[in-house]
Amino acid sequence: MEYEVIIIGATFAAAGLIEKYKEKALILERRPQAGYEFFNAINFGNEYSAELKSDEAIMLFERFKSKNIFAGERVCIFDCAYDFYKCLADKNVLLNMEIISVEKQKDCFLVTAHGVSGYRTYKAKKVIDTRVHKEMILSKTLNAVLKTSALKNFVLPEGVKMENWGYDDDIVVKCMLSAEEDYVSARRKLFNAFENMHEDLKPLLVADTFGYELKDGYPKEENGIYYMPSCAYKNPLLAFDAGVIYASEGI
Amino acid sequence: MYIQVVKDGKTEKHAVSNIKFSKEYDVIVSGLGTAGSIAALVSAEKGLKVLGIESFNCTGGTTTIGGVLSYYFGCPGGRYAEVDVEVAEHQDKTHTLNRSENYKFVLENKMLDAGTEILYESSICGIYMEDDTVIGVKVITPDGLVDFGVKVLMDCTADAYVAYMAGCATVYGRETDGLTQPYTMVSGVRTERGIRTTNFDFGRVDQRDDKSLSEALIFSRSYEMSDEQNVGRLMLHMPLIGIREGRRIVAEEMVGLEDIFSGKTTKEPMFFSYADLDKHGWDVAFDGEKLGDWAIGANLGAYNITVAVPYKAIIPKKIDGILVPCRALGVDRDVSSCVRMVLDMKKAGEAAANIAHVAIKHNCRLRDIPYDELKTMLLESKCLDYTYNRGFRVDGMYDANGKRLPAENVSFLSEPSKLEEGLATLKPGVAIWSAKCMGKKCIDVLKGLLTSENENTRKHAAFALAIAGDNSGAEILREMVIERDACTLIDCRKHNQQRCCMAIYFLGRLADEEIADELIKILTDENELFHPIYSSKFSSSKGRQVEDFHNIYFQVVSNAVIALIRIADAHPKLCERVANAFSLAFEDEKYYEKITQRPKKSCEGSMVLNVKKVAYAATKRWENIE
Repeated sequence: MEYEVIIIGATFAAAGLIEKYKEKALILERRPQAGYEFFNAINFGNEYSAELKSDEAIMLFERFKSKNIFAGERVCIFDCAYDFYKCLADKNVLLNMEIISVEKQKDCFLVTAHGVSGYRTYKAKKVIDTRVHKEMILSKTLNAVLKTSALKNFVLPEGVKMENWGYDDDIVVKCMLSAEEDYVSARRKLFNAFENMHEDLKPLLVADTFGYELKDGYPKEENGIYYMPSCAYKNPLLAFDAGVIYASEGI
Repeated sequence: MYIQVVKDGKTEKHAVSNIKFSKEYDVIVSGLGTAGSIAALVSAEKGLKVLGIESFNCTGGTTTIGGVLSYYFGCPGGRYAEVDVEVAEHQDKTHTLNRSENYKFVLENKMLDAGTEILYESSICGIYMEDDTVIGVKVITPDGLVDFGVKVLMDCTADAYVAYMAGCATVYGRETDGLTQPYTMVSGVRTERGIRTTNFDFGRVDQRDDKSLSEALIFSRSYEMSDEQNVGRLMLHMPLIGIREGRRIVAEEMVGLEDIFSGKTTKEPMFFSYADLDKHGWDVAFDGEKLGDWAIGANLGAYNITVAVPYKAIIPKKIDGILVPCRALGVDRDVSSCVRMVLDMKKAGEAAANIAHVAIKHNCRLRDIPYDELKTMLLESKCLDYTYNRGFRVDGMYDANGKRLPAENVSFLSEPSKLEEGLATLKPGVAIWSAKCMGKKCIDVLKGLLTSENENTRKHAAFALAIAGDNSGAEILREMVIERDACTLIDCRKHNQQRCCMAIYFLGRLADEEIADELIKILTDENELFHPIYSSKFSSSKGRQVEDFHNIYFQVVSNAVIALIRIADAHPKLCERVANAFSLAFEDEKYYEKITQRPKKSCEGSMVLNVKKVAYAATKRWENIE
């Protein structure tokens, strides 16, 4: 199967890219979800007042706004999940596809993936990778939503930082991790931090994917592949916007 | 030696030599979900060297990242019960108020403490085989491809994907249209007290197909609930969607619905399964006659059944070195709607660990293990507990005050003279089913009841005769269709049938030529919806009313289509007339709009579209015969 562009990772940046490339592109994603770098990482983003350059991102922003997700500086983007997934409906998106290899040929790339239908090989002129790779990571966090309604003053456990956003009575906290830590280690760290704390200082919800702080230097092109990790952007709309702009102008 | 892989949906076999496995394991579990996590835990606790491979980044599958936090029926007992106690104890001091997060954490730690090695974000993409025996796997990990040797591979992927890759025979979908049960997606919404999960059935998904699966994942998350459905702020979509049915293996020992009904049971059970035939879709008309007789004909669809699940149901036929302890185990399509619940899967995982342990100990093939040894282990842990071999039961009923009523055992009647009493009520199901079991010996008694002054007795006797294969009550059945008899029976806690649909069903079963015109009228008459039946309430349960979906009309239409197909199949001269009626009824979208305003990919929308598909498939078949 042949496409102009293969986009790896069903992220917000990928959604912006395919918004412009349309049927010329295919998104391949190993997880059963999309937009996870913000939604599932409980990474609600910030700097929502930053200027959006593309009409598509501005429209998405308006849709988000109509969901009343912005309450001052406090944002809850979960309610926009429907709108984000709608962006991917009827597009070429394959989830649950593990990338086996990306081989550079003379005038194209061969991308081999493995999913529920087994191995599939796709040919494309261009590959854009919107995922996070090990070598990009500076540090990780395992984020959680904390219910704080009953407590006026509280001290967070060591190793846990509060984000300056959240919603209503909930706040978002980050359990700080090193780049090398895995999910087992992260869960243990979070457990240890909150063990035996006051009931109202226990997370209601724990992220199912890491939040990342990345090293500088992205996006960048390397060996013909364009790397634009979506989570490097300050918020999902900026990631989406970057995708649209890159697909339109190549920048 | 060779490697089996799946490419573009089909299996391929390639010869290989000089493969050096980077590590050897007694047991490799593919999928650390409901079944797999217990399978890996128990295997490790038995001293086996275990590797668990999970495509996500945590354990528990449906019970954690699928959002299914409680048990739907099933029989208690087994290793899972001890884990549950530990989870409950842990909840008090845990880092989270979220039970699934807590479960994930406890299970993962128990598995690691028992010695299980875990590879997250990994999956199997090739199976090494020697003749017909699995000997190793190729795994995609975050660090690249790795080969591992294995004595027993456990496919806990739910869809038998690994077994399919290994070349095991599998079956899929229902006979009428090849479809599976609807899938569900669970969301979490913030309420005052915490996070409440809401689950909705969506359309059908073919989990074997990457495009179909991706569309389902995206559609279900883009489907915005109405304010009424979605009370509270959306907090998450569960990573896993709840797919209820996919491939099923052809196993060394199979269980079919006919076995349950005839009382035929395995001599080598690993556990008892207990639930109703919970098939979720509303289109029971398309489920075939075995299930149709039970759910429509006798209105017993929500009665619980007990299934003794043989240990050989998780051993694929002809291939050794692999077990399939997941919902893809060897039962027929009807039984699979019962033997798929969370407790069944946990027990299947535990049994698989014991089977592997015994086979490795005796160095024998999985199908040749001494059953008595397995049985002793399963009895000891209470995974297998004969106390729960309880046959048919009415369970899950509530009184008018919302208090749950105790379950009642059901005994079917063997004396024709006893039928009248049951048939006289609005709970005639047991009597109707008893007539099916009695067969010819009850015909004369039932014929005598056709002239009863009691309307219930008369009409239900016509049902009983029809289910026993006798058409003496056809005239009464026709009357019920013509008057669109709206009376809803009350045998069950959900999905109770209306007499009109039951009569249509039976007239189809009897291939009654005389009702054809009336059934065509149902499909094509523009005034059909003015019949009072369509203003009545479907089923006895308020919770079963579906917004934007005219279930009564759907039931009548879907039953009429199947009945007409059966009638035309038996009377080929009617094929053209029926085909023309189908063409007229379904040529445009009007029929769809009359039934639902929901999207076509929704559970209801896909069922309504499928009515047309089934009708047109029959038309095509008839054209080919001509």
